[in-house]
This record gives sequence, C-alpha cells and structure tokens, in this order.
Amino acid sequence: MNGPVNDTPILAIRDLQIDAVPAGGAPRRLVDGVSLSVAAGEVLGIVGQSGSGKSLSAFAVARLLPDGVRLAGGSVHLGGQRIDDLDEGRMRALRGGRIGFVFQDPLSSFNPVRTIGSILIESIRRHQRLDAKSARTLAVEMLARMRLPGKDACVDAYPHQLSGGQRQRAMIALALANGPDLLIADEPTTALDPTIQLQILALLKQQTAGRASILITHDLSVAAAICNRIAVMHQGRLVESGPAAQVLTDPQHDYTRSLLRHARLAPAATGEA
Amino acid sequence: MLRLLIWARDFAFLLVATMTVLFFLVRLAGDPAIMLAGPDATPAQLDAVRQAYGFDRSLIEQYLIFASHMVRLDFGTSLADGMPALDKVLDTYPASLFLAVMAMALNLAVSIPVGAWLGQERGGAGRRLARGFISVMQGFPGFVLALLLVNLFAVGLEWLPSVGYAGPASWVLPVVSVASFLAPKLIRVVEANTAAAYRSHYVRTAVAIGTGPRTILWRHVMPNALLGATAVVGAEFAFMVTGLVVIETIFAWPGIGWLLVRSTLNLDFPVVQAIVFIIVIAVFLTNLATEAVQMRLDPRLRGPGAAGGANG
Ligand SMILES: Nc1ncnc2c1ncn2[C@@H]1O[C@H](COP(=O)(O)OP(=O)(O)O)[C@@H](O)[C@H]1O
Ligand SMILES: [Mg+2]
Repeated sequence: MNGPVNDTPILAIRDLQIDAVPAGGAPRRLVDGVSLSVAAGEVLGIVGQSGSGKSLSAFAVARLLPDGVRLAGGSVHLGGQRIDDLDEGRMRALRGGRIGFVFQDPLSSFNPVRTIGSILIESIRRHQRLDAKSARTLAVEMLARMRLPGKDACVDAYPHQLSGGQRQRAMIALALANGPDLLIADEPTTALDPTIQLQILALLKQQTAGRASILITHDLSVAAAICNRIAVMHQGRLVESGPAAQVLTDPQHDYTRSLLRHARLAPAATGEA
Repeated sequence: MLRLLIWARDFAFLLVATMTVLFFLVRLAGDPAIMLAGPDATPAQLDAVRQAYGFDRSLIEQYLIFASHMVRLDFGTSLADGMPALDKVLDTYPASLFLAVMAMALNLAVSIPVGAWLGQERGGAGRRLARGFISVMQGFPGFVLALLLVNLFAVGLEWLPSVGYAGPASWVLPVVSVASFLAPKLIRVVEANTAAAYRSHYVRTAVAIGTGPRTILWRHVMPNALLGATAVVGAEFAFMVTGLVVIETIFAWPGIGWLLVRSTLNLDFPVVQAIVFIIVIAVFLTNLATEAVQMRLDPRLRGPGAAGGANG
C-alpha cells in the first residue's frame, strides 16, 4: 500500500461535543471537546471512572446515542471520509458493516427470544449479498472461530442457554461478522468472572490485528493488557492521551495518577481479603 | 409428564374446593322449597316439596349425594323447568364463548397496533390525544359504555338492534362494548412493553448491526412486547369465560352470564352449580392455553435445553 493511505487513521474524532437534551429543560453538555484518532493495527484504550463519558464518545462514532442525547458538535471521519453528517441509511450501512460493537452485558444485549445465530445471520445478510444458507454457514464459521463449542458452534442456541463467556464470544463474533475496519468494545469483560475475563481479553487482542480498535474500560489493568495507546477521560473531557507505556509509567495529569494508584491498590486489597 | 400431573392435581383441587364452597353458599342463600311450592304454600305442602327434593336430609348427607352425582356429571334437573341442569348450561355456553372470542379478536386487532404505535414514541399531538382518550375509556365501567352505545346506535339512530342474538347486526353492539372494555388495559400493556423493548440493550444491538426500523419493530420489539402481553390477554379471556353478566343482561344475550343471573334469582341451584362447574373448567383451560402460548413464545420457559459444553 502507498504511504498516504497508511497515514490516514481509520478513525478520527475531532472536538466532539455531546449534549443531553431533556424533554422540557435546557441542554446539558456531557462530553466536551474530545479528539481521538485510531490507526489500523492500533488498540486505543479509553479509561476513566463510570460516568466520565467514555461510552457516549465511542457510541457517537456511529450515532448510536440513547434517546435524549445528541451530537452537538465536532466531526467524525472513518477512513478519511466524514461520517457524522451521513443520512440514516448510509450510517446504517456502516453500523455492523465497517464498525463493529461489543457491549458490556452480553445477556441483555442479545434478544432473549431469538437465537444467537439468527442475529448473526441478520447482520451478515444486511451487509453481504449472501443467501440464507451461506449466511448460516458463515455464522457457524464465525462462532467456531470464536471457539463456541459443538458441531454447529451454538448457532441455534438461545442466549440463556450459553454461559456468560460464551455469550460474549458470540457478541464478538457478531461484531466481527462483516470484517469491520473499526472495532469498538465497551467494557467487554466487566460483566464476566475474572478467569473468563482473561480469556475474552486474549480473544479480543487476537482479533484486533489489522483493524482499528477501541477498548473502553474503567480498569487500567485491562487497558494495560492489550492497548497500544491510552486516552484518559474525566467528567466529559479528555485529560490525557498517549502511548500506553508513557501514560502508565509517566502520567502527566493528577487524575491519571489517582487512577493508577487505585489500579495498583486493587490486587493488593484482594490479596489480603 | 410431571407437569401434567401437577396440572391435574391443581385442577382437581380447584374444582372440588369451588364446588364444595358453592354448595354450602347456595344452601345458605335461601329455601328453594318456597320458590318451588310458591309463596302461598301451606307448611304441609312445603314439607312435601322438601321431602320430594331431599331438602329434609342433613346438609352433610345432601352434600355427599351432590358430590357422588357430580362425579358422574349429574347435576340434577332445573328447578324452574325440569330440564337437565348441565344441558341448559351447555346449550347457552356457546353464545357466551362466541361473544368472548369475537370481543377478544376485536380487542387484539385494535390494541396491538395502537399499543405498538403509542410505545414507539412519547411525544406528538396524535399520541397525546390517544392516550387521553384511553385514560377516559379506562375510567368507564363497562356497562355505562354499553348503555351509551345502545342509546346512540339502537335507540337514537336505529342503525343496529339493541338486543338478541340473531345475525351479525345484533352482534355489533355487544362485541364492541366488551372489546372497548378490554382494550384500554391491553393497549397500556402493549405500549409499556413496546417502549421498554425500544430502550433495551438488545434493540441497541440490533441498531448496532445496521438493522432498519421495520425489522427492529417486527423482529426485535414486537415478539418481546407481545410476550409480555400474553398474561393480560389470558387474564382478560379468563374473565370473559366466567360470564359477562352485565353485558349479557343489557343485551339479552342468551349466554351463561344471563342464565347465571336468572338461576341465582330463582334459587335454581342445580343450574347454578352446573354453571360454576363449567366455568371452573373453562378458566382452567384458559390458563392452560395461556401457559402453552407463553412457552411457545418464550424460549426461556422451555428449560435450559442443550447448548454448549465448557464454560468460557
Ligand atoms: N440517555 C441519557 N440521558 C441523559 N444523560 C445520559 C444518558 N446516558 C448517559 N448520560 C450521562 O452522560 C454521562 C456519560 O455517560 P457514559 O458515556 O455512559 O459514561 P461512561 O461510559 O464513562 O461510564 C453520564 O454522566 C451519564 O449520566
Ligand atoms: Mg459506559
């Protein structure tokens, strides 16, 4: 590939502003002036305490904002093309196509009355011109690649029939089903048991190769495990960002230092218990 | 198999308990001999009637006789006209079930789309107006609406017959009355479930894989919203199979509710007992059907089933 193509980051967010717009009241700024970029092969960790605006910033990339929250300013570029002003139809083609999402709670994130496979097939057929049979074959293949057990890799299982770890593997299969350029994982291990967390992190790390990835976590040790770069958010603003090694060993901001102290204290505290 | 046994046990218990309580309640309600012999009967005539019908025996004895006959589905004959009590009930029940099924069909046809529409968004003038109207409807006792409809369409405009059970035109007012009594509640439930589904994480997942609004409504939101509504539909149907006493009386609809009123007023207890017997069975079957539908719609109720192997 030529130089200029490689230099363009897959994702570039500039000066993002997100507002809460309550039904009667005045808008309230939730995210203010966030700028980020992620290149191919890079894993960006967004860290910060709960409520600091990590999820909203990442969901805003695909305009996946909840009711009552809206993008108030800034721009989002995907592969050099501006996407924040796309119409809904074009945005829909990106969601699940070039942008894949992994959510925190894989149980509530899968429709309880639909099989895992039917959701995967819905996504595959939405983005690839495949007949039902080939879509199913691809779904089984994706699930098997994420190491779901059995001959059909649980394609016909309902979410409640799987373990938490299996559900999150299925969620990752769903996010990657159409070979996205950008993978956004929002607290993908928070709802899981510690041993399962490590397996899921390893799987994610393996799947980030060759694409741009964002890993949102409130847990610095998770970010440290798989991220090349780390961005720290606090009260809706980006307070610090840089190469992972630098942010972890030589934090510039007080808030980052306090996060690091808590992250170091955590294993010791559990050890004493 | 175990489930079936549990059902059978519950059913038998419910039936025996209900019929026992009913038996003693009816005997407390009044002396049927007076009804049978007429108000001017002499004490000797009353005694003769009591002897003929076995009312002179002890209550326990009467109960045992009643129970042993009930086991053979023999409820005796109507004190009013001597017809077998169970036959009278089985002759009138189809009219009641017909009314119940028609009203439920109309209720579903209106409530599901309206509830789904209301649940999609909070705002908008049309939705606010509809919600206000539904609140008013919910406050109406069912028979007030029925009487208003009769006044308007049968008495005032003379478009529709107000009473009877003879052909489609005579069905309209009773069916509409019952359905409009049922609909507000079901609309509310479908609306709430639809709104909850739209806020759910699984709908966010559907949006995140690029699914469009129509597929989200039909394949993600509605299956869950309707699942939540089946309990209400079942309860509404169970309520109807117990007899729509007021509506059947207003419209002179020859159903079980109307028969129940007449038989109770006449102390025609063989018929009352046969009616309650059939109603208990109907309610039980309705609940059974509701459960079957829920199992069909909700894979979580069908047990864990076979899925993956090892954890993680
Ligand atoms: N639907 C919403 N309406 C109003 N405020 C919201 C909504 N969703 C999130 N917020 C607020 O936005 C802020 C950032 O939320 P979020 O991005 O989810 O935080 P994080 O992911 O860092 O925990 C929080 O203060 C939260 O209360
Ligand atoms: Mg979050």
